[in-house]
Amino acid sequence: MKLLFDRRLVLVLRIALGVVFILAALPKLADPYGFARSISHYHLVPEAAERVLALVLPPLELLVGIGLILGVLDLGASVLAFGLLLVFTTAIAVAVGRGLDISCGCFDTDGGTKVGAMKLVENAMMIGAAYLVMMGDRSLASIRAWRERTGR
Amino acid sequence: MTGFRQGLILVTLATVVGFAANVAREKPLPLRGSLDPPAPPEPGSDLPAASADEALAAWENGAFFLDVREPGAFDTRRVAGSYSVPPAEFEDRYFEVVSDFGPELPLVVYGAAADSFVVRRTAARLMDLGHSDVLAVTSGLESLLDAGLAPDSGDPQETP
Repeated sequence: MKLLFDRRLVLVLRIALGVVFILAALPKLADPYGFARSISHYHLVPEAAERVLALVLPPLELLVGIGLILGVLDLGASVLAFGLLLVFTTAIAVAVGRGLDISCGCFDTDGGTKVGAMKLVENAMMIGAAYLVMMGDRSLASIRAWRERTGR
Repeated sequence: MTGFRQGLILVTLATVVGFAANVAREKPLPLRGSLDPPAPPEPGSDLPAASADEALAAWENGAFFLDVREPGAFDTRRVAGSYSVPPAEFEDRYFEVVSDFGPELPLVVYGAAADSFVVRRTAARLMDLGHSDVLAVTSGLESLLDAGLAPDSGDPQETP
């Protein structure tokens, strides 16, 4: 268990998650219409909420990614990463349970990976990584930790 | 508590950035309504449909009748003196029989009752080619014959 919370492993997972979040955010930022359509395919929230999510989620993913990589507001970023992944995974599980044959809208807004068991496994692994980052020591290569150390 | 506060800061920042970026976009995402732009109008959809009586009056004034149905249907039954201009052969037939008469020639386009779209589209193409006096009869061949236009059948005429 101690090995899982090793600072170096947490750093690797933190950076990896940050990159994943940034890569997920960029296509959605470029195509809010496509992302709004992707959300609507899930039939989970009302139309107005779909549009708000299409506008807010991409910059949130970007900020979370940047926060994780740089170690700025990193606790909040890791809590959000964990929470967002839980929500996304639940939405995918519901879509799979309903038998929807839709693209997940995770890393692109047009086509892309379909929802399914593999996507759930992938997300479960990311949830695990986000949990370790959230609960672990994120002070390695972190701007927040550097400021705390230097008093700046 | 710190995590919650930091998360709230990030969510607030993302909300502000997301909405501000949307406002600055050339084509902002609407918060309600269709995401798809309205379909462009079909060619000729704004053309008023002419009645069979108007077509009869045009015939008496020397209008040129164009039949958009397939050649087989045209050979079987048509308005006497009309010319076959099915959409697939529009350009060939236009330059063969219509263009020589100039843009002032009154034209009447008709087809079967179900050919409304093709009739309008053909009329729109003629207007695009400079014809100003074009009537689109969407009520079909039978309505023209009922109105008193003479029927014809057999091999089509080659010249007016």
